Amino acid sequence: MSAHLRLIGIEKSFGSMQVLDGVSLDAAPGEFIALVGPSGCGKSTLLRIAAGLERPDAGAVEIAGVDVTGRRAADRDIAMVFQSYALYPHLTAAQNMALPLAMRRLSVAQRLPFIGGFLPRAREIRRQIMEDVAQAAAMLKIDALLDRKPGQMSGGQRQRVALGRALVRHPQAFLMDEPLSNLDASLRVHTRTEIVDLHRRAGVTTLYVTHDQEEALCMADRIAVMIGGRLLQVAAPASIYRDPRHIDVATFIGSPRINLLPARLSAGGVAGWDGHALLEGVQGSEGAELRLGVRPEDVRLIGQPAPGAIPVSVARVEFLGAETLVHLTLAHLTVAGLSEPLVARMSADQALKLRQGDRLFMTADPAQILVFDRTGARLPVARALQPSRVHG
Amino acid sequence: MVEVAVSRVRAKATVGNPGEALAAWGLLWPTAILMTALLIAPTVAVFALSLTDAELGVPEIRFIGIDAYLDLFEDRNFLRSFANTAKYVAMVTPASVLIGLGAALLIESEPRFRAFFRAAYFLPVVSLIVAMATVWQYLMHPTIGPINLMLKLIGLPGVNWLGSSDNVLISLALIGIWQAVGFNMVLFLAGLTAINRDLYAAAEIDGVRGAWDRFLTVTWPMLGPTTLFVVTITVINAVKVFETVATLTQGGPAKASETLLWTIYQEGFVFLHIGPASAMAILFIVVLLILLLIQTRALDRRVHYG
Repeated sequence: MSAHLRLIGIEKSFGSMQVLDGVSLDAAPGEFIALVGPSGCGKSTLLRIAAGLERPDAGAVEIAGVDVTGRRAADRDIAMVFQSYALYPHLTAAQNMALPLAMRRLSVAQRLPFIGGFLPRAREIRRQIMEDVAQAAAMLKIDALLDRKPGQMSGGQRQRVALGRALVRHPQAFLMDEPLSNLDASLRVHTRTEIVDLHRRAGVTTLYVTHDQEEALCMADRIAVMIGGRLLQVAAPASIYRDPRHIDVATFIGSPRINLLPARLSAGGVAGWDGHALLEGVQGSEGAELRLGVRPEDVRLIGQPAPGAIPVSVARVEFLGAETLVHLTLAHLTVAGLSEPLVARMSADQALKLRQGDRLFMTADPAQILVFDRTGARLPVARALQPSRVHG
Repeated sequence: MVEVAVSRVRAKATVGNPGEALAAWGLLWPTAILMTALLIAPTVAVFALSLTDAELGVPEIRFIGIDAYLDLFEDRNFLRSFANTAKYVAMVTPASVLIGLGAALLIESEPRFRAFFRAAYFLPVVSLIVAMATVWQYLMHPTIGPINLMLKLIGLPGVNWLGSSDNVLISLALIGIWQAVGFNMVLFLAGLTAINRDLYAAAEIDGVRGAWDRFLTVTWPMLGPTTLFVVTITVINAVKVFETVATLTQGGPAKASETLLWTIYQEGFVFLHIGPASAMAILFIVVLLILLLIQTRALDRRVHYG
């Protein structure tokens, strides 16, 4: 039932604009892959190509080992959930969910109103369809909504019916196009656990498009990060976060954003903004410009100056309950290439004494620093230097 | 104490501040005056006249109550014109709505020459119908008219389009359809572009394959509100048919093409019987209002989902 979904070297241009540039993605049977990226990166187009709603200029789509590139969406045995839900407003929830079954199981004559019901087997098939609808409705706990039309439902209820319409057919793959982005924040958080739960139970291969990196991190088995029409990295959420292959992946995933610091490659290592060596064993030509990425939770704030530590002042202390975000600006100096504001994440206790305007020094555990070259590619680091006095 | 304060605030809120009310009236008065002067007052005046035996040029006016209305129901001329109008509406409305929808679907599905076809269909709407009537008169001329010449060419007998009492209403309806199709098409085109594209994508994924199924599943239901509006407008315009009657047939032959507005015009402005003409006008308005009510009350809830 659940199938291997493969996209191979997909290319697509709209006019002179290339939207997809040789995208390949491989979803194992039953896998939940989140396709994440900023708006306009081509992720929805890729999903529509997988669905068969859009034709690729080059490349192939395979479902369960069968090349379906030339097949229209109606013949692909996939289901899709749309951002706008795309429910038929003139039909009740039950009729909405029954429609894909009726289209597949009933002949044109059997679908005719009044007359169709008298044709042989039509009634029996209809009864079976309603049973399947009831079963899917029970799974989604929308039994009570079955007689309502979309206009009489809340956004969350419509979303469930849209899921039901996809689920009822037991398709080979689910394609979801930002299904949660029209819900309010609390409902969104609630529904995403439900979708994950539903995926566990149904076990259907799922391609889930979202621009919300948090949604991708918490829902998916693997995340495919797409920027500018290319897949930059496909990996499990933890490694996407801790081990990004590209600076764009590092900046897109994680909130607040990763801090980026300028650096230069010196003989045998990486020097920080003041020429102090932070890391060694980085490959590359001497003098090359680098950028160092430090996640907010890896930022250390110390009271005393230290080699490599950047003088900062506290711009704002943002108390969020369990944790606190400390926004920092550069104190009395400018560092070329440094992107402000810098953010440090710490426990509420650690931030207790911090006040706006405090002068501090910012540093980081070298082992947690991510090194990127000028093109944005991640550079491997052989060994982090012992943070001599940095921890002060 | 708190409750008192709250209720005071509420009271104040419902009264509103005087400046706001003043602004509201300030914005309202131009419309209010125009509506009263051009719509409400004339209607009231016509209603008042319909209760009299007013005749232009006769100084004495007598109040006769609803006699004028009672007379109308025995007036064969009026009843005939009422029936003619009903037949005309029954011919023009379905045909022009269906052809308008068909044209809109065809134009929408084929991007080439879209602007040309849109303009071609819309031309009758912007052309002067009185001027176009002479063209139709020529087209439908029994001996030199191109329509009959063409019929002859394929071996069919010519038709006396406007000169026979059996055909005249049908001929007028054909012109009425030609006139209404363009406007209906433009309205349907607007309705079509407003349909959420995702619905077609969803239908495709749900296994809706053919054009007919797609039309039944998405297009037709989504065009519900547009269709209601188009039907309403078409009915109202068809009930008001006048120019073609006045220019082409003058109600003839043998009153076979007498329609409501033509009869009212004759009664009021040719025979100068203001009283009966006013009664007809009031009945005319009542008929229109009933049609409007039926459409909005009975159908509105069925086409605006939720």
